[in-house]
Amino acid sequence: MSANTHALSKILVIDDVQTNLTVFSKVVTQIPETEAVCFTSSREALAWCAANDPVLIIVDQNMPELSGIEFISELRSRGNAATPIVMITGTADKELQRDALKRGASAFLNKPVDPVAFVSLARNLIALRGARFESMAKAGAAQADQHALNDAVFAVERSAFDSLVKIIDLRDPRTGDHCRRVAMFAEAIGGRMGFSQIERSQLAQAARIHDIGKLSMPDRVLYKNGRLMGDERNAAKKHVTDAVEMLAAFNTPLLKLASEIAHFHHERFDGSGYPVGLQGVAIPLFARVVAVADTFSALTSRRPWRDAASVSIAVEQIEKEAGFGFEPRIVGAFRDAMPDLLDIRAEVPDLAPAT
Amino acid sequence: MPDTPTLEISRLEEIFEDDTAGIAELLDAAMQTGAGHQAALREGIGRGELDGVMRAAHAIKGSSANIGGNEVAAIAARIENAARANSWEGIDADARALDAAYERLRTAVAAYRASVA
Repeated sequence: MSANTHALSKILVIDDVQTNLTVFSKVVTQIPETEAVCFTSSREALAWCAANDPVLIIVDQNMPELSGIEFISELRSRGNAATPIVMITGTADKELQRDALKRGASAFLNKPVDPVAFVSLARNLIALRGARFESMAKAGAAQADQHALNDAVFAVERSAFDSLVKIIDLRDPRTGDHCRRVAMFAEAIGGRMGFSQIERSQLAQAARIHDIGKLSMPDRVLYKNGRLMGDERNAAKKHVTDAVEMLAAFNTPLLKLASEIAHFHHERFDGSGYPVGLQGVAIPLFARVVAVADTFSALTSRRPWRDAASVSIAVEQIEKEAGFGFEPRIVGAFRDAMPDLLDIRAEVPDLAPAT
Repeated sequence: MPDTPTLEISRLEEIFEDDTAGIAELLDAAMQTGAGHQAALREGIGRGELDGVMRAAHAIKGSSANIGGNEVAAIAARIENAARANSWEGIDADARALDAAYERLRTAVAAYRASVA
C-alpha cells in the first residue's frame, strides 16, 4: 500500500498487478486534490474501507482473493452506498457488467484504461458524489430547521394554553375545575371511540379551555348563587361566541381546535342546540364528544339551586338523550368509559359548597 | 514484422509526461512480472490445466496491455479465449508465438531505456 497522510481526498485503487497500480497512481495525479491509495489485496482494501472514506474506488475484476464484483457486493452490504466505484474489466463482457451494476458498480472501463477517459469519468463521479452529499446536508439542515420551528410553535402553543387555563382558574376556580374534569372525561370517551393517542391528547388539551368564553360573563351571571333567568341565560349562552372572538387571533392548529370546541359544544345532535343549530355530524366531532363530557360534569356537580345528581341518574339522563342531544355512538363510548370517568371524578372532585 | 506494435509507448508518455525514468522503471517492473506469468503459463500447459493457462494468459494480457505491449497482449488474449472455451486448439503454437513476442518486447524495452538514458 502507498498512502500519504495529508488531507487530500483518497481514491482507492485495487489491482493485484503492481504495475497496473503504478500507472493508476500516476493517472490519479491529474485529478486535483486527490491521491491514490493502492492495494494489491482486495481483502486488505476492504478492511481499509471500514475506517476510511474514499471519494472514488477503482477495482479490477479479476483478482485472486475477492473479485471486483465480490468486493463491490461486500462493500455495499456493509452499508457503503455512496462511494462511486469504477470496475476495470479486461473485456467488454455485457453480462459481467450487468451483474456488477446490479451489485453497485457505478461505471466500467476496459483495459488498458485510457487516461483521458479515466480522468474525465473520475472527475464526474467525484463531483456527483460531492453534489449528493451537499444535497443530503441541505435536506438535513432544512429538516432540522423545520423541526426547530415546529418545536418553537408547540412551545408557544403550550405557553398560550397554560396562560389561558390560569386565567380561567383565577377568574372562577369552579369553572377551571369543571374544564379540567371535562377535558379528562372527553379524553377517556375518545379512548373508547378508538381515537389515536395524538387525537386523545389534542382533545384533552383543547377541551381544557372549552368554557373560556365565560371570562366575559358579567360577575352577576358568572357568580350567581341561583338559577339563571331570562337575560342572564342569554348572557350565559353568549360564552360560546365570545370564546371564538377571544381565540380568533391564535392561528395554531391546537388553538383553532380549541376555538371550534368552545364554539360548538352546546350544539345538540338533533339540531336544537346553540349558537348555530348545527345537526348531526355537521357538529365537529370533538365538540360532540365534549358535549357529553360537559353534561356529565355539570349534572354530577352541585349548583347553588340543586344538589349534584348521582352518577346513575346522570348516566340515565345522558342515555335518554342518545340520538337527541348526543350522538348515540358517543353515548355508547361514554358508558364504556364509565370506570375511567369515576376515577377522574375522584381525582378532580367538584368542590362546590353544599346547598 | 508483426502487424500489432510490439511496444506502443504513447499512452505511457501521455500519463507520465516527461517522467521518462518513471516509464522505464514501470517497463522493467512489467517485464519482471511478465516473466513470472510466462512461467505460470508454461506450467499450466505442461500440467494440462486449462484453468491455470487461462489465469496466466489473462494476467499477461492485462499487464502487457498496461504498458503498451500490444503484440504480447493480443497473443495472450487468444490463449485466454481458447482456454476459456475449454479448448487446447492453437494454444501450443500461440505459447511459442508469445515467447517470441516477449523477446521482441524485451528488446523494445531495452531500446526505450537506451533512448532515454
